Amino acid sequence: MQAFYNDEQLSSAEKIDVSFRNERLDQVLTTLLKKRRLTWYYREETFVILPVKDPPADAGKDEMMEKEVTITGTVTSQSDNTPIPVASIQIKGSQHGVHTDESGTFTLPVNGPTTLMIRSMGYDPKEITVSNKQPEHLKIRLTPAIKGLNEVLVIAYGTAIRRNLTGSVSRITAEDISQQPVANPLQAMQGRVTGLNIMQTSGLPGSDYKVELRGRNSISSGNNPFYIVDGVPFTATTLSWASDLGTSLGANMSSSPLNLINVADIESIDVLKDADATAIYGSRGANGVILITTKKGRKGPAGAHVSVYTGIGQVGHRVQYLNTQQYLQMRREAFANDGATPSATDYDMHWDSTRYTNWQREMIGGASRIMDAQANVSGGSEHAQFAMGAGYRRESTVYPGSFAYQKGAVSMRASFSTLDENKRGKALFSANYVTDRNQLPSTDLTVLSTVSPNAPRPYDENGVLNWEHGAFDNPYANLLKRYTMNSNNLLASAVLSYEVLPGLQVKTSMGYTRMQMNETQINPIISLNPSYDYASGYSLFADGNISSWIVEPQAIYEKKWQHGKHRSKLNVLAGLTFQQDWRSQRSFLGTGYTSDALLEDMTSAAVLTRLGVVNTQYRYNAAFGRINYILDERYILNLTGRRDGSSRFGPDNRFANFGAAGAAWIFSQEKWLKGLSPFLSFGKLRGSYGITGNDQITDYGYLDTYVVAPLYQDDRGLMASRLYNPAYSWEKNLKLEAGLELGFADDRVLFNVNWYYNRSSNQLVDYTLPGATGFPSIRRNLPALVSNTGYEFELVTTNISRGRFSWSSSLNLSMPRNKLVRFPGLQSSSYNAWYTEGQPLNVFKGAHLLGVDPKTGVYVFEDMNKDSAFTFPGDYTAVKKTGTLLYGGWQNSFQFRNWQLDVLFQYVKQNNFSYLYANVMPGMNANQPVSVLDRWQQPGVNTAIQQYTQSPGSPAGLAFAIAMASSDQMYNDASFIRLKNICLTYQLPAKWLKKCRLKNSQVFLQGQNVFTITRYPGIDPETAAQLETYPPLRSLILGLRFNFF
Amino acid sequence: MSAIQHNMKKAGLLVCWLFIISSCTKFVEIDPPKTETIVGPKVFTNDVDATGAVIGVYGEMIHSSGFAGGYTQSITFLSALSADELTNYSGQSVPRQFYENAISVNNAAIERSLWNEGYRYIYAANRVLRGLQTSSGVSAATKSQLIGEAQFIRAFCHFYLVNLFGAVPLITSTDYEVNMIKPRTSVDSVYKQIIADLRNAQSLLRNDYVDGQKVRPNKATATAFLARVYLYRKDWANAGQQASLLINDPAYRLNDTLNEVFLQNSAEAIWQLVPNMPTYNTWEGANFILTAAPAVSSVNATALSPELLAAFEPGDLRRTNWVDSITVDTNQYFFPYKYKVKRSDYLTEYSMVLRLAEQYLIRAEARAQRGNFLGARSDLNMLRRRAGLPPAIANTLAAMLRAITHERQVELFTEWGHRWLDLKRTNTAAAVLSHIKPAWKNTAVLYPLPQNELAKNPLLGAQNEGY
Repeated sequence: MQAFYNDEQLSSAEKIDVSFRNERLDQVLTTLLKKRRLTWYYREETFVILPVKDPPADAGKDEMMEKEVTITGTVTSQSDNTPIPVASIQIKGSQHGVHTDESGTFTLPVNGPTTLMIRSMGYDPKEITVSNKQPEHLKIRLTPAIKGLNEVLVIAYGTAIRRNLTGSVSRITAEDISQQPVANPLQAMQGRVTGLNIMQTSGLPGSDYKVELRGRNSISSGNNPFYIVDGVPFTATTLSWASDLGTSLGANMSSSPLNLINVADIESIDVLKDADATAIYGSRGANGVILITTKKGRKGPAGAHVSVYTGIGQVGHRVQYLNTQQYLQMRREAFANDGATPSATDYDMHWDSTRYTNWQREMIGGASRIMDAQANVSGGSEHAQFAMGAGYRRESTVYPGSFAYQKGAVSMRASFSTLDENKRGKALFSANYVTDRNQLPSTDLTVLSTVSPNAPRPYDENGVLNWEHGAFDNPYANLLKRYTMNSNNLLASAVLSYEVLPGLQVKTSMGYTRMQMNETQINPIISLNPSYDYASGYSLFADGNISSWIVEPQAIYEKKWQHGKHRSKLNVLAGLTFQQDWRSQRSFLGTGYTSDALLEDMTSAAVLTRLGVVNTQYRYNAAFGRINYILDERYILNLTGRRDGSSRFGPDNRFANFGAAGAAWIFSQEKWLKGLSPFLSFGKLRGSYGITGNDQITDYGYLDTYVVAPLYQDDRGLMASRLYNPAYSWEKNLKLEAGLELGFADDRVLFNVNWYYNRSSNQLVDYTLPGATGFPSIRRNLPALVSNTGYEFELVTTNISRGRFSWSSSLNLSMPRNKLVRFPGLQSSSYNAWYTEGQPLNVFKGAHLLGVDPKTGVYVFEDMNKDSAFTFPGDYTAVKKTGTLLYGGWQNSFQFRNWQLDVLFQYVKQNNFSYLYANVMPGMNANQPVSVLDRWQQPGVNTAIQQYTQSPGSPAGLAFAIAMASSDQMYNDASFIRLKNICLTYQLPAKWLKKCRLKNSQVFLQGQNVFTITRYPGIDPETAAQLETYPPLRSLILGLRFNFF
Repeated sequence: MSAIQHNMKKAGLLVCWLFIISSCTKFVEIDPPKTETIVGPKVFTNDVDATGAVIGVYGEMIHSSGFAGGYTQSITFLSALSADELTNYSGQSVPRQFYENAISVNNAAIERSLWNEGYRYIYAANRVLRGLQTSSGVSAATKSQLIGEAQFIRAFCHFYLVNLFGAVPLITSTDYEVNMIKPRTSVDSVYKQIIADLRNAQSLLRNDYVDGQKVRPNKATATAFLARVYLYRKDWANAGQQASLLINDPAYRLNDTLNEVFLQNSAEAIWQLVPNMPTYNTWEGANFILTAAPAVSSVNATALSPELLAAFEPGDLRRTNWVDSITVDTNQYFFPYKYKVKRSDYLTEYSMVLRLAEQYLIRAEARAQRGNFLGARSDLNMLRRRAGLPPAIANTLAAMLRAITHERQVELFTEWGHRWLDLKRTNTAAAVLSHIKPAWKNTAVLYPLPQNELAKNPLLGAQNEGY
């Protein structure tokens, strides 16, 4: 505790003797200072002592005003109605004030009508006016702060105020999410969180995301963050079926499990990054933790909130392909180069050369329609609150034909507390149910951009698909090969707590989730090229489910005390985790259907063949603890530990210990820096070091087992499941972090820089084996060391806040660097083909394409080892970084009167796949982008593209095979700056709303992926892949939001 | 400060206590998955499961589109493309590279369907051998049959690997630490092991077939394959001797009617695999039989080559019974018609691996090489008579060998790479193929090792010449 005073008013030489015993500090101060016509107020942990202002000259005019009355009141938290101790109550305009006690109550003498300022750390300040009538007992509720240093963050097993954090935590809130017309929480986080790199794998609705927090720690185990929704672990791995060959049933490849969270239900998403924040999750914290918290019920009369929007989406950028004339020229030139002539089955050479179809426009030139409606009600009394919500969303595609993603959600939350004054017992129940349905073609039609532009008419005069006697793989047939996915998720949780002794709370949280998915792909006989001679249509079926329960008993002890000049705050947490997961997946091929109409029914298949089955159980057990100690609101120490046991390891390697230490020093609280205030309004230095683990491996790797083989005669034989290794153990991840947080000009400028250095050792890999061993891999630990280091910057500024206009910005930048530090025996291992010591894991290693030899017109590759010949493996040593090198976002928010404009730019510097080196070479019977026109035609001319060829065995064909599969040309610069989101909101005027019994209602216009600045030549740099992929759409929506109360 | 220490101590004790109680390991013990069966207590302890570990290999082999399956990435198909048996119409690079004898080191079929798949079956065989070594509970009769089958499988797969790729790692262990750094074994040493395995299998396998159908190897199967191995090793005496064992075995005879040869359990079948893909019979039938012009994708994308069609003598019944054609827009496409069923819900044909006709050809060659032209002609004539052709008349070694090569070409076409391996083993590939394959190089007789394999096992050394 410190005091701030003027030496002229309160001389330190003056000494008085007083004796107080068990008196409240405010009373002591008031008593001491009153005689000297001094008063005090308390702000940000400091007592400021000032002279009492003389009452205004006309103060005596009103009798009433002079009459001193004593008001009492209670300050509680808006969120959970708990009392807020040590909140400061100050009379506005004066410096006089008091503090609430442990039960949140205060007593304050006032003179007539007064405005009170109520402040407490972690809450937005509040002003209330007290009338001059006989004051009653005031009930004041403070809203938890959601931005800035006083923001309350959700952390592991609790909450913390940003100011007091020792670890690295970022958050986005419901407000950020509501500005974006998205269906998946991950999409809403893109560009907004430092250290979190989220890339969409396809722009199709319901697609999956690649998520990496602070780089790739593991060579081959999972790199997914650990997701927790309301305390319940949420699966990060999709239930979508992918066969051995990696082909999935639907065009979106796989569904993100997080689709099954309704974004409208989300209150906040907190991202825990460093050891201090994540070590308490032990083995699951290595890749960071993402905590999703849903909206809780509010006290007060029931109110309803409705939000509706609708809009359209389109492909923002298409690639120009060759027209018929250019295409046929390419083909003819290819045959001429190869010294060949088109045969009878080079059908495209015989088709009508006057036809022209822009297949990309045909396939992805449409418009997607988006519709979203959400409603919820909440309310409650002092001791019971509820919230209920429901939502529906529909999003169609830009494909021809009717394909759409639909999602419906309901949620319920109820919280109760015991009727005693301190609400010692509490219970919170929550249940969310989300179901979705995705109807898509079975393949992404974007790849059909390469169909010959002179292809025959798609339908004959009777409207029947034209196969041109089997010679034409009709792209429109793909509209009939439909994929339907239905999935749903139930997530229920309960938290029960009781304060058994003052400061000691026992608590148990329990959760259950069950996720189910059914996938069907139908291939009607009318969609199959008759030359393939299918007797009937066929279908593929897959279903899967994951169910999981978790129980976490905890004890929390909290104490604040004063000793001498120092104040201490201690928080101790201890708990246990019991968790069990079951996962089962099956897939079948159904054949021999008598009618296309029956294809969606598994039981109508004449023959049902099992394609695959997964059936796993996972059990997890842990004990964890945390000690958080804060001294004088200035020095903070945080210790966490966990002992984990997981069934994913063999009996001798199941248990491991993890832990971390974090510390922070709020140096702006130091006396000797006070002079800099308010220029330097906040300064904190923090650091942490600890160890986390990674158990994202498949189950049972240690078991020596056989599975059922395909049928032989009437028997099913057995085949070995895997090469097994009973001895592998945990992957360890050591994390070191330092951070500096600064606030300037009364926190109008907040600057934040983090540096981290994470090292992953004992790498747990599915060690790639030569085929001669009979299996592709074996699970084992590698003595390899991978480091991830980087800087993260955040600058949040309130640029202008004047009257009715305000402008604030937020800039974030992440610069991750990944390195394979050490890999003993790399040279003689199977990993030599991909990795190099000292280089990142995301690196391409192979041949370096020099360009086109002007003499021969064929690609040439660099002779890396200078032995005058280009051979494998000696010359396949060129290295090129792939993946993301730098990323961030820049957000600006403007407010003027009733208008608000939010603009978010996302930028990513990366190398990604070049679609120009897809598996079809220029000259074969597939269309190409116009950039192939710059090809070699005659000796002596330098060109970017080699000569056309239609023969994979020609010198140019063989060179292309190297270029597309093993050369650094596979990757090119795919950096981009994107206007990710723009949101214009108009707050409807209160006087209009009043008539309709509405409150706080808005009209909004939002744009997503509005434009992209990039040098990447393909459709979209984010979803760049070896084949062109459905891009994230440019969408524009208009919506309304109403609050009824 | 003492208060803090006191509290810290309390908290520390609480945490420690929690740690101790959670160290009970019971909770994290789980049952094995319901879909898997644990080896230790189960597989090699009883006849049924141990047998399952062997027939699982056949089930996988015939299910696959690669190696032994007969489909678009099988030995049968790919090596027929490499030889002069098929004309390719597919635009896809995997078949085209085989067809043009210019195979990329990254060719997916080389890696996945020939190399990796072959070694997968070898692993399974080694696994059975290891399991049975220490097992108890498997009856002696079953044990000897299963060891024989496993050794046969191991020899069979090594044979194709060594012929397609040259020197390859010889794998006789299940220890991945050994196998992952195994250098190439010389061709001679691989053959030595193949012969030892087959000899051993011959002594262990039953005379009759398990279950009566010719779908699991018996003694004759090992003998038939051994005859071929000796032929490839130019060990004429042993080749002739082994072939004779089969020719003299009353259990086998040539089918009189060509159209019955490829039916299930036909008289001349020695070993067949039972198809297990619903709505199909054999993959060969599904892929070779054309009902439209050849496709540009990977399936139904070939027709018989003009060279093979020209090789048939006039009046050869095999030309009329085992070849069929389809005419599309005045273009006539011929295709192999040994298997008659393209698709059916009922099984009538099994995929032929070994049949008696080959044994006659082996013995004819062995006899010719040893100067017994009369015997050689009589063996050839067994097949020529069935094909409606006049007896062979060759009477010099060179003429005799030409006649045998010709007979092998028209008898064994599009079966198991016979033509490709014959061209290779008789050093005639260059002479025959160079003028019909523009990109031909003499080094093309060996396929390249998968580039990924060379990368994963640096001890494999250099790539095959010419790649």
